[in-house]
Amino acid sequence: MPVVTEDLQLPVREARAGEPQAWETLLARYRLPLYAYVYELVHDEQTSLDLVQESFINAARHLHSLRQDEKFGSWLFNIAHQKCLQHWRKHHPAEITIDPLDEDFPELEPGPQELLIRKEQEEGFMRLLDQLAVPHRAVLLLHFVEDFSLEEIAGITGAQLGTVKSRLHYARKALRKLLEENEP
Amino acid sequence: MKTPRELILGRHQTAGARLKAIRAEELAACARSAGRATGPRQPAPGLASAVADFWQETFWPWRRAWLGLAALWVCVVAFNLASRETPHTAAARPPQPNPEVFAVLQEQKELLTQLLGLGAPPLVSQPPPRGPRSAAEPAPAKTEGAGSPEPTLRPERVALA
Repeated sequence: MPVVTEDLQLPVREARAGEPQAWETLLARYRLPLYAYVYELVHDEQTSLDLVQESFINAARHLHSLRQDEKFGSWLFNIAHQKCLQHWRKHHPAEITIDPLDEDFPELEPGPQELLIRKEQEEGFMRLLDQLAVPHRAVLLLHFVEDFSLEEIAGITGAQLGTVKSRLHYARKALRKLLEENEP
Repeated sequence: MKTPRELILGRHQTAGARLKAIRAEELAACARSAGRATGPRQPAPGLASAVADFWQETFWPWRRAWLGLAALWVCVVAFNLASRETPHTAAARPPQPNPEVFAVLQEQKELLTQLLGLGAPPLVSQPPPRGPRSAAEPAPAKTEGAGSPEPTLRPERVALA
C-alpha cells in the first residue's frame, strides 16, 4: 500500500466544475482515510459513515470557496473534524479534554513512514490509540494517516501550533514506550 | 512489519463497500449547483481584486467586531447631535413673558401714574378706566378765588399734553 499518494494531480478544478469523474477520483483517494480518521474518533460505524458522507457533501457545496487547490486534503479533513466536534458536543461533551501547558518540543521526531510496527505490536498499537485522549488521538491520526505537517494539523484541529507539537510529542512518547515494552 | 498508516487503514478495509454508497454523481451535482449559485470563479482584476481581498481577509473574519464598532460610532454621533440640538433650540426660542410679572408691572405703572399725578404722562397709552369715586376718597380742594372748580384732568388730556 502506498504511504501517502501525491496530491498534486488531484482534479480539484474539475471537481469544482462538477465533473463526476473528478469526484470519483477524489472519493477513491480520500474515502477510506477520512472514514478511518472519523471512526477512530467516534467509534461508531454508522455515525462514521454519516459523518464522512456529510463531509463530502459539504466539500462539494463549498469547494468554490477553497482558494488553494493543493490544500484540498487538509480542507476536507478539517470539515470532517468539525463534524466530529459537533457530534461530540451533542453526545459526549465530557470527552473533549483540555491539554496541559503548551510547550515547545524539538522537531526531531521521525516521520510516520519510518515507524514500523511488527505483527505482535499491532494489537497494542491500536489499543494505545484508543486509550489516548481525543485531542491527542486526532493529532496522531492526522500525522500517521495523511502525514500532514504540524501547521496543517493545527489548521485542521483549530489548535495552536505549540499545542499540536505538545500533543504529538506526548502521543509519540507513549507509542515509543509501548513499542519498547514489546521488544523481543 | 507495517507502517501505522497501513495498520489503521487496514483496520477499516471492510467499510470500503459501504463507503461506495457515497456517489460521485451526487457530489458532482452538488458542486455544479453550488457553482451556479455563486457564479464562475474568475480572478477579479486590479482594484476590484484588492477590494475583494481586503473584504475577505480583513473585514469578513472580524465582521462582528467591525459591526460593533460601527454601531458604537452611530451611537456616539447620535448622542452628539442630540446634545448639540438643545442649546440651539433654547436660544432660538423667544422668552415667554411671565403673566404674573406682567400683572405686577401693569400695577406698578398704574401706581406710578397715580403718584405722578397730573403733570406726568401716563406710561400706558390705554389706562384703566376710573371707577366711581368712593365716599372715603377726599374731594379735590377748591382754589380760592376761582369761580369754578378746576376740572380734573382726564387721562386723555394728560396724554395729549
